[in-house]
Amino acid sequence: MRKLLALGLILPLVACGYGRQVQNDEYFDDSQRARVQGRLGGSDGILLLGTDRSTPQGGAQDGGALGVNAYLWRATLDTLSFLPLTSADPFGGVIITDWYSPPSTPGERFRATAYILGRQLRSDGVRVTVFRQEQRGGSWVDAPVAQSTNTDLENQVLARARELRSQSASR
Amino acid sequence: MRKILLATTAVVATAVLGIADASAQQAPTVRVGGYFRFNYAFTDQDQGAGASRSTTSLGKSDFASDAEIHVIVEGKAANGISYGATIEVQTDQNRAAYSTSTINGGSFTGAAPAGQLSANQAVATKTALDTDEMYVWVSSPTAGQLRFGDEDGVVLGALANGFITNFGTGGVDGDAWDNVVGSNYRPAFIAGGYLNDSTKIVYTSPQFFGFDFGASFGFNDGEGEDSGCEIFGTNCDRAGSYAYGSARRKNEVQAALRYRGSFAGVGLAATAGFIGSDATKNTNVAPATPVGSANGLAVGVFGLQATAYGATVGANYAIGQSNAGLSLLQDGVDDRALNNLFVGASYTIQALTIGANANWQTSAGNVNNPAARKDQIWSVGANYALAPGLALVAEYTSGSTKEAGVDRGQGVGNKTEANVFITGIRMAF
Repeated sequence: MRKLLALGLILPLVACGYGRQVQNDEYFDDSQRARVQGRLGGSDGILLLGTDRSTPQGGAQDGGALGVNAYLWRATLDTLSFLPLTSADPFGGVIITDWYSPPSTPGERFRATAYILGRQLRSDGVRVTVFRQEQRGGSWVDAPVAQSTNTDLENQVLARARELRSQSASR
Repeated sequence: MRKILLATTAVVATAVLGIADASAQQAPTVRVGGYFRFNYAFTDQDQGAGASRSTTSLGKSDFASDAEIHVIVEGKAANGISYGATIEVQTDQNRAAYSTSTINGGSFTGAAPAGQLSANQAVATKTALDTDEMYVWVSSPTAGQLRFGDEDGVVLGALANGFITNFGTGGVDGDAWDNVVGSNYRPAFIAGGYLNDSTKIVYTSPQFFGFDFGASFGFNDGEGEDSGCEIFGTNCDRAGSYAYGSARRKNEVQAALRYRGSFAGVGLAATAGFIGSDATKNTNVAPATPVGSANGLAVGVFGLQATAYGATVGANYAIGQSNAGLSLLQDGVDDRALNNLFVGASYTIQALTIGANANWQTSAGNVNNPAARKDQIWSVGANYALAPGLALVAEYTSGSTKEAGVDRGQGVGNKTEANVFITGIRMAF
């Protein structure tokens, strides 16, 4: 009873909290269907009505309907989400951002290009290249970027991919 | 207790439904998913001894099919609330292929005579469809999710952990027992989804620092629509007492706390939960049948699993006031607690997954017998993915049950055993 009362006190706090929303596929599912890895056709069921906006279910390791590894793809999108997106090709595994100028340094701007190199979750499966320009005399000119910047971003992508993989595997 | 849960549910419902932040609206989608499997099973089971031996003997080989159809609705409102519904239709575990006309000359409509099938079982065909889980849900990014409908609670459902069943047909919790005839020959165990999908309300929280928690409540163990009966009796969902029949769960409450995290590349998940309930009261006090009432459930459940480099290991331990397989514990001379341990491991390399699991359980069994009932199962199996959603499976499962002083089909105190080999194909879309 005391535990339930404590739970009752916690629940209203949850409404004001900052937790991460748990998706339905993170809950245990005891159906026989849930025990089969992947889905024929790559998507979770046959869409009868509406527009498909979901990420592929099952077979997430190899990306399902994606042409590249789903974890690396999602992780790259997450990592580069601070930049405005110009194009994202999930089949070719190419993500290209637009130029972005941080408010703190309006005299320089960045853009990034990311390539997901395959369907396997590997440490060499992603390449990120960052471009930098500086404003000189009213026009933007190319400026060098430290090689460690690209590596750091790749490491962030890999860390995020590993996190997504762990979350998925522990369901 | 239930007032507290209902009140907290109302609080959360207000929080969930009251969110007004702008968000991208998504028109609802309707999907149909499905599952089909075909198994060949070689079943070597005990078939009784002495007075328990049937005049009908069983063969060993059989084919069996099974299917599920899921309808999945999902959408997102402009205020950020996600919503949806799931309806699962299945060919159920209908063990009897008899019609009412084959039993007692067609007059069989009520409770089953001793040793015979219940009316519900008697009229079931092995090809009948019924609903499995069906529920509607609403979820907000900050307040969590509410589900309303027929499904498992949070302890052996949404937040369950430690049940490694991703190989073969599921091993201990797989298809083996679909092939074994007679409840005395099927050992008890506890796995995810083991309690029935009684109609309930389920709350699950967002995840905070790796933790999420949940609670569920159902007034009774009845599933589906309507009252469950036409005349007052134990079949009624709202049954409060009984004179002849079995006790049923009332006011089932579950609460669970789950943690998920990653340490040095190892994914860890743990759950601690509690299942509690009341029980319908036995009003039969005739001296000839000195059977007391049943006790409600009060069971703690603890699960832990780890995943790394394609391998997953896990265990789940349940202990508390219950009889075998989370059935209600009747008053009697033996009121020992239920102890259940499930362990499992699996390893996936490329398209191949191999694994093994086992379950040990001790319980009161026959409460008028002082000895413990002991059930144990072990299983090894594999599956090979021909394509995403299409797999070949093979599995061997062995189980036994025994209680000193009680005849569980093979004579007083003897062990009853069943061994099942299964190979088959299954698909999901």
